[in-house]
Amino acid sequence: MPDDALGHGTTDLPGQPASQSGIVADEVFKADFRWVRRGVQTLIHTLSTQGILPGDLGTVEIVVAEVLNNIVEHAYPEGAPGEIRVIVRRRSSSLMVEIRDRGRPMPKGRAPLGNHPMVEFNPNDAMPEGGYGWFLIRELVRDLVYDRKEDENILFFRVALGKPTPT
Amino acid sequence: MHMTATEIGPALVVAVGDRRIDAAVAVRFKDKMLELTKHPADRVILDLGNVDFLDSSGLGAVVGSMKQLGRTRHLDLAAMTPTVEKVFRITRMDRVFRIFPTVDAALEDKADA
Repeated sequence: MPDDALGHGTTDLPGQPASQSGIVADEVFKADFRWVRRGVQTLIHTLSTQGILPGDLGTVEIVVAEVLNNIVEHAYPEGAPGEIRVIVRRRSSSLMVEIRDRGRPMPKGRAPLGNHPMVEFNPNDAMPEGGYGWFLIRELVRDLVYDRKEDENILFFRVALGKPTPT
Repeated sequence: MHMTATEIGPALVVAVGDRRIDAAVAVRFKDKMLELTKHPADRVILDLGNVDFLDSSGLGAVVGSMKQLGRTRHLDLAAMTPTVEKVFRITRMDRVFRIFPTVDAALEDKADA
């Protein structure tokens, strides 16, 4: 399935112009929680008109919302939200998602590993109320790549689409 | 954040009217839960039937709401829609909470939670 691969030599590498074929959504919006909510809802609506199944839409909605919330919280300084761009390309059995922002780079230049916050949980501790975001992202996407080009963060990942169930 | 609390027998059923519990409203959700659960019921059933979407901030706020109840009171969840259910299942929080398919099923559950 070469057109699903994010490996070397594909045209889906960071830094490529966004004019590649197969784009089903391309949105730019402000990095605050209200705009993220609207942006995600618009994106999901757009994808729903492209024949993406409800279960897959749910997966995309979860992971895109988590990535965008992290950009709002960590990439841009509070009170000075920059822009976020989300581009989705359709492949035969995947959606390729590209998310760009011009905020701070990821710590140590890497996307978080996303360990479950209770991996080292002590039953006497209070149950963690945060730290589930990157765990969800890592569980739900494939081929996640983070790149920093000039002053831009570029996150790429793939969401595998389920097969339509015959009715 | 639209939420209502109804006393049904020994339980307090808190219904969420909003379609999303996400980062934009997570703090307000938790505050509203604190306010509504001043009612002394030992068992609170959170009716998520209207909620199409919950993110990790919303999940954290549900966990926080459970902690706010203290050790002697319980928070059970009911009527999850598919995407909400997916977030609980993947994070394995479905093992932390008792989850019922409907509010009625939660109310019929005789076992002390």
